[in-house]
Amino acid sequence: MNNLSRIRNFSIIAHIDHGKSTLADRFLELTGAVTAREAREQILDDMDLERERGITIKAHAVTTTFKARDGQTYQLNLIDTPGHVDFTYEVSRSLAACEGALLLVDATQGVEAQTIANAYLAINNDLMILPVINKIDLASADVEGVKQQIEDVLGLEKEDVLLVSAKAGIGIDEALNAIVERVAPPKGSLTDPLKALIFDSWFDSYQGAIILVRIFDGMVEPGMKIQLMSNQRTFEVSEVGIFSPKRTKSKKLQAGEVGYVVAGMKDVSDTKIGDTLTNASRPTETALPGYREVKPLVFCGLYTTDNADYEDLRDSLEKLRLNDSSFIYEPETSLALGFGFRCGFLGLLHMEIIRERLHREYGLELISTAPTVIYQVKTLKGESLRIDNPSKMPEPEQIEFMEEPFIKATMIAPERHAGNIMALCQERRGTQVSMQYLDATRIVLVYELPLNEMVLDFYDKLKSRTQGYASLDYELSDYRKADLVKLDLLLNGENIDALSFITHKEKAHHRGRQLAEKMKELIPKQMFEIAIQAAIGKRVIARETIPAIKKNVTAKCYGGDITRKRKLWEKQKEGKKRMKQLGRVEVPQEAFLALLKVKDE
Amino acid sequence: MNIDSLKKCVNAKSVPHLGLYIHIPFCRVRCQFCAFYVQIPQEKRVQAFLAGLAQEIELYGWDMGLGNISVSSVYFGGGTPTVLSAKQLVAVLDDIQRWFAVSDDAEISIEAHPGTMNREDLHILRSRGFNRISIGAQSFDDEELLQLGGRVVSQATETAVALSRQAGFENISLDLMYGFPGHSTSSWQRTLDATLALEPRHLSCYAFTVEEGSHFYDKVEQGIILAPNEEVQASLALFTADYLNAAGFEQYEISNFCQPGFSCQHNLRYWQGESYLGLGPSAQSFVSGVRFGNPSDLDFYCVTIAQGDLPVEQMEVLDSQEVQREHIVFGLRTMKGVLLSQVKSLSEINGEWGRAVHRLHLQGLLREEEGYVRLSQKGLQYADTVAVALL
Repeated sequence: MNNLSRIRNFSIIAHIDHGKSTLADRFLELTGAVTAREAREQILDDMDLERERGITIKAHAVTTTFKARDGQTYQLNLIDTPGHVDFTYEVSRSLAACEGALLLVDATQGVEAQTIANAYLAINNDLMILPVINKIDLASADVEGVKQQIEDVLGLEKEDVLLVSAKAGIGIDEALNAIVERVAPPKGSLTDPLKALIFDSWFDSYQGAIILVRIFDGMVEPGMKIQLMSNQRTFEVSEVGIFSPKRTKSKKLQAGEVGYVVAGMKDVSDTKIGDTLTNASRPTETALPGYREVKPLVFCGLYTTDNADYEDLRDSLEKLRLNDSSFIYEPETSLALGFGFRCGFLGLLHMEIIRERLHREYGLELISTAPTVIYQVKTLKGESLRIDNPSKMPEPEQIEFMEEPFIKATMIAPERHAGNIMALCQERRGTQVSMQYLDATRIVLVYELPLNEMVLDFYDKLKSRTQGYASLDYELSDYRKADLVKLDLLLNGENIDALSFITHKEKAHHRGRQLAEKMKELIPKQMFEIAIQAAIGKRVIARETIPAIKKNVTAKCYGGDITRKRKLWEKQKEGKKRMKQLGRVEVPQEAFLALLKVKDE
Repeated sequence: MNIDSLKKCVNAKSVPHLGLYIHIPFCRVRCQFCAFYVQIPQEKRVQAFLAGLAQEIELYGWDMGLGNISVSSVYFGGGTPTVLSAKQLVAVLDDIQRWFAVSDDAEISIEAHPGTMNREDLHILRSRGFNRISIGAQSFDDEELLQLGGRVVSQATETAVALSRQAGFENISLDLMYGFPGHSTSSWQRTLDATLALEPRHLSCYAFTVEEGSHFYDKVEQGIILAPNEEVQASLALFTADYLNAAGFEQYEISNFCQPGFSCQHNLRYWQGESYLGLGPSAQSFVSGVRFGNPSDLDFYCVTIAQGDLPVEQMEVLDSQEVQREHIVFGLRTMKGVLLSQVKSLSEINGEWGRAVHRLHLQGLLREEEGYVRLSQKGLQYADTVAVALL
């Protein structure tokens, strides 16, 4: 299909759980890309973890054909976007591949923080936005109210709102026709040099990296030498094609189209999202705008409970990295935990996903240290250091000043929770930027917050203090000077480097006490007394003692007791395997994340 | 379970001798600390149980082919075996002797509750083959006995010992309990003195334990009574060993003491990895490396046996390393310990296990002497820690 006027490239954007994947499934069914019988629940989310959490982690693109009411057949390219705050940049690149976006809003929930964030991303990419209200068949649907929000908050016309129920299949045909009628066809020149946007990539063990691209100008076909404009590397194309949604080879991809390219790239880190692909022998003059290097925001150390599994961890990280170039790792050594890796993630969810995949797919028993952000340290000698591991922080007397990253967080919640949110933000050293009414009952709060206050458990606390009603979106803003100290934790006088963390001076005492108390709860009694101390430098600020267990012996041990005890002891033995020996003290995995588990202050 | 499924796994020929345990699942009342499977003895249930037991004896002795193995110990436990009449108990023993090769010098024990024993019954038991009696004294302080909820007075124990002796029981054992909430060294010493005055041959001294499933467990959970104090228990354990030692009793297992030559042959089987067959509801067995057991359900027990099946619910066949590890874990409960050569050979086969042994040595929980590995004084207090490490 070479006629650009018969192509529509679009995305669906929504707050989590507003029904994006279900709507995508309906589109695929209605356009005949899949039959209802073939349709698994939520076709686009094909990773187990994605389906379990109901979120899309990797973007996808599906090409279908649709016969519109004007009698013409159109090629519709649905570009799916990841649905979480950690992946804002990826979302923006997927949107850059489209001319239009369906902005999906749940009729029972209304506009949420990610709805707004996604809408702005789409507007910034000059996309035609089609507002869609989903779940209109539910009894609790407030269609009129949500229409009003869409007009008031997002500045979109009420009259343009499409009404659907993805689950019940209502309004799907109308929505597809609206895409054809309202979204602009792609522009581009078939004869210009190749200019294509990479918006996703993943690794195939036979063919190497597979990249998803949107062609803006020119064409790409097997045999062509292509070049990546960010690093000038060249490759020869071996295959191109589309997903319909099955992977289908084609002769070429050309301007306006969306599809995949295979070019023997061994390393997905070559294929950076947002990069421009061009013809090596006839390159385009300018790269597409908007490309940037993705930098991890959150770091933690990953170690195996048994040091013998170190190699397995390295191999597993290598494999995971093949499919996810946004996550980075490098070897590090901890006095307490031995050999492991310092890993960087886009955000907390990203970290959790990687950790869980290592455990689930690779069967690794892991210890992860508390998440931290990157601090900038200026030493008296004039050095500038980036600290992604608290144990590497220089001694206080060598530091001239320190800076920490700040974010701008947008939170939406019913008005009655405003007080709780403000209190939380204040506890977390936040400053209010603005507060606005979204409608009669809901408010939008914008705060500037230090990222380190955020990475611990901000989202969980926000949810629990608003009975689950608040939604959140954030973006990194800048680095600011702050009075920060390193807090160390000592077990029986021994500094456990893996438990050190950096915190604001004013919060250090409180955090230290909380952490020591939590450690006391998490570390089981042992044959000797265990002293837990929290210290800043040499000054101990909190102390707890775990008394020794005085005896551990079964009094009666005859036939029936043996059967029972054996089972109990075997269970305890399994539990021991998940403990880490620090000096004489056995410490359970959870204790390394104790910082995340301290109760609400 | 079908008898053939078990028969396939159990290699009777490899078993040199066997101990039999008979679980009598009845008690007049349930003691506060007890978590055993017991029922209140109603005549109909007792009859059903005895009929089932007779059949179970036959199934194992004849159908399973265990009847040719020399039986060197028989132990009637419970519950309270003496809730049954002497005639009933003797009938069970007769059945056992009919279907199994009980050796002439076999140790035949019965547990007894002081409130359920009379002169005539004891006489019948002794004359028809029982040669060891273990009396549940618990304490010689009536207030403590009330606290433990056993509903007898210490006088009853004294009488029971005297009657047993008169009936001809030479090998008399007493069960005692220490370290319950509020227990002190001085009151424990009074109980030990009263005990020694009765001149038993054997003593079992159990640290008070709040067993899951007992009345006490619920009360501790609800905060009605205090959990026992570990520190007090640990010091009473040391005191007990010293005190009894001075009185001519040697400790031969964590909770067991005897005059020379009077260790309980049946109970030693449990710790020395020897085969035992448990009959009756909830009884557990270990025969030629196979563990199996009956569920704690009298109705299921009777119904299954009536169908000609074994009332066995779970079965586990241990591999040779598991058998060895268990042998060592339970053998360490005895003061004799386990052969050093055995520990060494297993350490060679299984390096990780060998390192665990080494760590326990470093922690001062194990010691080596006279070609044996034993729990150290400290190890006796942390025997379960050792067990978890070595299992």
